[in-house]
Amino acid sequence: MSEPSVTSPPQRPEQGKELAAPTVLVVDDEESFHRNIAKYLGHYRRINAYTGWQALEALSKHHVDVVLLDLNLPDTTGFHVLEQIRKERDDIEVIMCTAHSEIRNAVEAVKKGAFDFLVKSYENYQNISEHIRRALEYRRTKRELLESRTHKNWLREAFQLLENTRSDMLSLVVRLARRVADTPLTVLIEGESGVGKGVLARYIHSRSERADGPFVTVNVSAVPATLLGSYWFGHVKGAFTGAERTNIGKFELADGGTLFLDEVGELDGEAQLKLLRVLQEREIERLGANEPTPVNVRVLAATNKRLHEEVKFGRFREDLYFRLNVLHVTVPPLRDRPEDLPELARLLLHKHAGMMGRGESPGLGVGALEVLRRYDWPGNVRELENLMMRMVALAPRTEIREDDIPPEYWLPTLNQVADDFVARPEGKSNLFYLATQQFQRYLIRLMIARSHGNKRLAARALGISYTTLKDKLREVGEVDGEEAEQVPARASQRIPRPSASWPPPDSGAGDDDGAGDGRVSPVGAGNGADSDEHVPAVEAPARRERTSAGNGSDERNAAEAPASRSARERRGRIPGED
Amino acid sequence: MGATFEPSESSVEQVAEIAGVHGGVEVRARFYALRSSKGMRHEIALEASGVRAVVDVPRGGNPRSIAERAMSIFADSMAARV
Repeated sequence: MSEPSVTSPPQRPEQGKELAAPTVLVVDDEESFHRNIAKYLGHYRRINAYTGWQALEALSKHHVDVVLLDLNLPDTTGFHVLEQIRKERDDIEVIMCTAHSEIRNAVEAVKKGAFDFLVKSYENYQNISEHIRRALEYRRTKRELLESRTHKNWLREAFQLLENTRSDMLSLVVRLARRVADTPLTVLIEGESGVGKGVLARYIHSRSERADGPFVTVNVSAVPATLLGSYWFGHVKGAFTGAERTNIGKFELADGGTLFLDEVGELDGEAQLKLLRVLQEREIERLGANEPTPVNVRVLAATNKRLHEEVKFGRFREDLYFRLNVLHVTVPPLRDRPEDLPELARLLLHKHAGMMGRGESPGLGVGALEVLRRYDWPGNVRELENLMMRMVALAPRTEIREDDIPPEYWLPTLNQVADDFVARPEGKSNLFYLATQQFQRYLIRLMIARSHGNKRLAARALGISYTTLKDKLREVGEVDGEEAEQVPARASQRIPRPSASWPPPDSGAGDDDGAGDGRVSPVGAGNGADSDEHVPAVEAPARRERTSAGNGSDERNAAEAPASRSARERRGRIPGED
Repeated sequence: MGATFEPSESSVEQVAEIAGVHGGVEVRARFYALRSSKGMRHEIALEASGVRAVVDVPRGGNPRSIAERAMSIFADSMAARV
């Protein structure tokens, strides 16, 4: 039985070193198919698998974008592999390939979630790149839809959170926002960067009679002053050189809805006057037009400046300020409403878990929450969101613990310990121990996450032995005895027949230490599609033997680590590794 | 109150003034009629606790009904101003 292998596309210098080619997993027991298809997959990173089992194992250890899946495999059917993929992953497109063009197979494949069904033919081989491109395009569209749906759900939950805020200050702001929503009055929302001024503006829009109309956001600071006229009001064809067609501006785009002017304090004098005229007259003039166009727009404005001080210093027009000042609210910074933090963090974890396609969002442990509570959040909700996004991406468990939180967030907690000691110096302090332990654990978890769960690689990156790393993890209850015993190769393992629980629980698909059982041995060749590098792994039953044409690999990324280690294990251990 | 506003049109006339107390805050609203070649429109100048604001009434809109809601919200917003 052939061993699976990974082949990188040829690196084209003009595209730079960081060429991110999509990865195609080719699953077929016929070596001739792999050889033929390779000729047409030159621009893709390719992983070859020869059985259903190898395919699923490769999927559990590598990033894969598209699977080319044979219908008949030695250990199972392509349909069964397809079902397994669909159970766990929605972000991989599967193209079924078979030598038999039976309609019922094609129908069955599509019903089970395949993107396409191809008959093995010279013509289809030639067009395989196009089929893969379409599959990738389809996946991108699906992802955009998911993001849009996630964003809508997130907004709905964010609005609920606003309404149920435990902060008295924010509660007052929300009550006023609700009352003003159904009026044509302008609203000025002040607050530090990242407090959620945009979310409050959307909340007002959603509660207004304009809710079915457009909500258009204009970030004033992002538009050059010279382009502002055309950007806001649009232009007619021929208004200036290059104006080849009539364009409508943001005010017209927001007609019947709400225009949210973010960073309104950044407007220069001329733009302030233009905005004043629109608020007074409710009409705009496209550049180059002779007649004004009436607009029915409600304006909400936000700024992180104290606008009345800008007026005092002559940087903002007083008459415009008066018009924005009818309802003037300030969204309190996150540090002033720590009571909202747990629910906000939960919501953000949920949002990003959804966007990353993770079924369940991780929870926030008591210790982690305590660390977050003590932090003063200069970047406000935006900073919390960035952190929660990192946590979803990196934290491997269902619960985020304090050790998962980056060190900069602990400093207030450590300060608190120091303050407690200074207040009662007769007691004992373990500040140094606490700080170093926290940092060690954080670093270990970070490196494990960056090594895609490969603990041996993480240990090497940290410059400590694998045993030391396991000891450190055991201290925090993250390695049990069973896991510690899992590491040696399981050469005598038998390939089970497909069943409801296939692949078997002990198939190693979930090995978080990078396997070491030699069943998958990917190698990044980086030397062209026609020069696959096949590295024989530790023998497993029912496998076809293949000869390696190996010419080495200089890539040292995490995906290659199992292969490197398999090879090392055959050669003997690296000194100091264990 | 004596606050002065400078509406944009040259032909400006104060046509009415009302005052009320909302949530313990006294609010005064003065109505201006502004005439130009485009026709007439209204502005409402609000003042409470030394804070001022202006509401532009769209042409054809009823200044009185807008003023009542604006006065109430304007008064309540005093507590939310930091």
